[in-house]
Amino acid sequence: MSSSASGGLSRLGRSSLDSRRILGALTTYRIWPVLILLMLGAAAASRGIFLRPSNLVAILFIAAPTAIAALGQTLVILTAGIDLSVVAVWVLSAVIAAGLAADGWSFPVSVLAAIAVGVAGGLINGLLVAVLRVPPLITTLGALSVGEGIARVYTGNSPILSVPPAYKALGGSYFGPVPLPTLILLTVVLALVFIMHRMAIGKQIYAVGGNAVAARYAGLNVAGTLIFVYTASGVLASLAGLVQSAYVQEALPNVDMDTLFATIGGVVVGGASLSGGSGRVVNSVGGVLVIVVVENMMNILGVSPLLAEGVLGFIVLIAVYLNVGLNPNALNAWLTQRSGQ
Amino acid sequence: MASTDWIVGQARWIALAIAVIVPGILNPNFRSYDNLQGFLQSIGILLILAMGQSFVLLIAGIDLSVGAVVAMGSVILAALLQAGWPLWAAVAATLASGLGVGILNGAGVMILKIPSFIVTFAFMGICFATGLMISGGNRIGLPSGSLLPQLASGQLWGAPLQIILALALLIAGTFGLRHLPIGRHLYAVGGNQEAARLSGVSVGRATLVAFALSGFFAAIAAVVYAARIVSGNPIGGGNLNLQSIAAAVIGGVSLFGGRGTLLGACFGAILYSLIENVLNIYNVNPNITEIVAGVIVLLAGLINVLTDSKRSIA
Repeated sequence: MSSSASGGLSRLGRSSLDSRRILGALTTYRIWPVLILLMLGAAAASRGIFLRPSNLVAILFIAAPTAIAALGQTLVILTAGIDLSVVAVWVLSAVIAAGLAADGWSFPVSVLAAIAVGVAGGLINGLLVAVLRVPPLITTLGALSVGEGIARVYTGNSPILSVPPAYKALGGSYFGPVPLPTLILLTVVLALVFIMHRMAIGKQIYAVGGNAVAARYAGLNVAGTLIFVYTASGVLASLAGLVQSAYVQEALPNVDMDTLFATIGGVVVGGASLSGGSGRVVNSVGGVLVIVVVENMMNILGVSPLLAEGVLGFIVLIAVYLNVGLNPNALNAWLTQRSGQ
Repeated sequence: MASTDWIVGQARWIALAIAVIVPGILNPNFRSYDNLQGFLQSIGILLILAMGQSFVLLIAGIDLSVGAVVAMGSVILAALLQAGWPLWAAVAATLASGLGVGILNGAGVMILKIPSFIVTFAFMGICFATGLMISGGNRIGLPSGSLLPQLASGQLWGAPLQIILALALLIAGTFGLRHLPIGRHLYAVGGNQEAARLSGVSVGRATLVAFALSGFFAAIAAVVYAARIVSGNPIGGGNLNLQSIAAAVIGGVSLFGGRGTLLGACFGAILYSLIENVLNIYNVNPNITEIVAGVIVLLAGLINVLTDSKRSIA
């Protein structure tokens, strides 16, 4: 495959710079061809059921909230951190928004309250990690418990089942054929791509993840950068909780560990390194889509949940391994070398 | 400055004293014989898990699968007993399942060089799914007349059997850590992996042993758990990850590896359980107890950072 690709590339671009750029793009965004191949495989394996519009729309609805939370998770992982509390912020925001809406508060107030939860949770995580230097894993593990506990106290540990129409519209509307949650996801992606590639904070996030000590000696505001990423992760987790609870029209106070695994797994399958400094936000959306498509395919094929869980765990472990063994630079160098022959 | 360091260093003893003395004076229910008996009957699981978690923390890893191993192990034990297996064989199979998960965790970390939290997170999902598959999602009761529940509430010379079991594990584990080469290797790998490797310690073997022990201890806890609730519960053990980490860290086991003892972890488990017990006695909403558990983890992490000079300079 690589030889035919390199042949095509050498005809396409005269200078080696062009072919290197294309190869670089292919390696950086490799999750997207993988996703397309996977979808073709799913279509074949399910005899076309996978490609039914109703199934594809369902995938978009399911993937959107997880992908939104995974985008925040990406920022944290880029700094070599981890945010286990995304699912706690998710449920706490959802129950507070749904609870306020059910109590008759206006839609904007409920949404703002939910986002405020995300800001507060993210700020606390960020301060603990950046200023007090508690390891991210422990900080967010504690926050996971605290957040879920508050959600249970607020709801008396029972789901909020009635949400007003305006709230339902947030999760269930369409613009043409496109679900509103997908549009929200695309907006977040565009905003993050702008932040990561056009603003100073984006470069700082990569620098802190690459080498925090060097970043500090270079005069970067490491603590500020860390507080920014955890706060962003909190806000996006809130948004995810809002969108998902609006879609399913209920808000549960209990966290779903499978969702947590999907947010981290999506980032990792998308190619970001857990040791920080490398990865693209947009690829995490591809990673989440891969996970959701695999789940959907196994669901259609009637695979047992145990096997499905095992397959997903295996995919994520292999992805972590490939990111460690085959980081983009190494793969890029290898491909460039092959194309030069 | 020196005095603040001293206070931080002694924080766990001060906390224990407060946790015992204040409710002991204020609340007659707390110092009642029934409460003390119940307390001793309830802490065996956490004592065992905190020791298991400590082996992994010592090599600077973390094991997020222990709660799921407890759930899966309790289901396997109950299902095998229902299928008519003798008690010893069912217990042996349960212990083997936990040991197997631990070895797979260790192999993932050792061979694939994947961070331990992600390997053990994946196995958390796999173990919960296994328990749910075996049980069909419901609790499996132990067969009537099973000896196991009697063992859970049983006593020897006035001490609950599960405390004696935990004590035996503490003595064996402490002996292994202090006097066997592999025990010293765990400390060496956690203290400085590169230095340990250069001085001839097999980092891979130490990693494998630490995770295998954690899985094995979790399976022992699963047997105690099934005996206590007289069933196998596929969705039990949810908070045990957090509790085992909190207990170990409160007890002075460093999150950064290389420092801590099993005795310390047991101390942490007792302190943690005391706090829960006090909250129970004052009829605090169990959901608030979950919040307190999270705060305890955060505080323990913070104290660990303040007292551990080896902490990351980044």
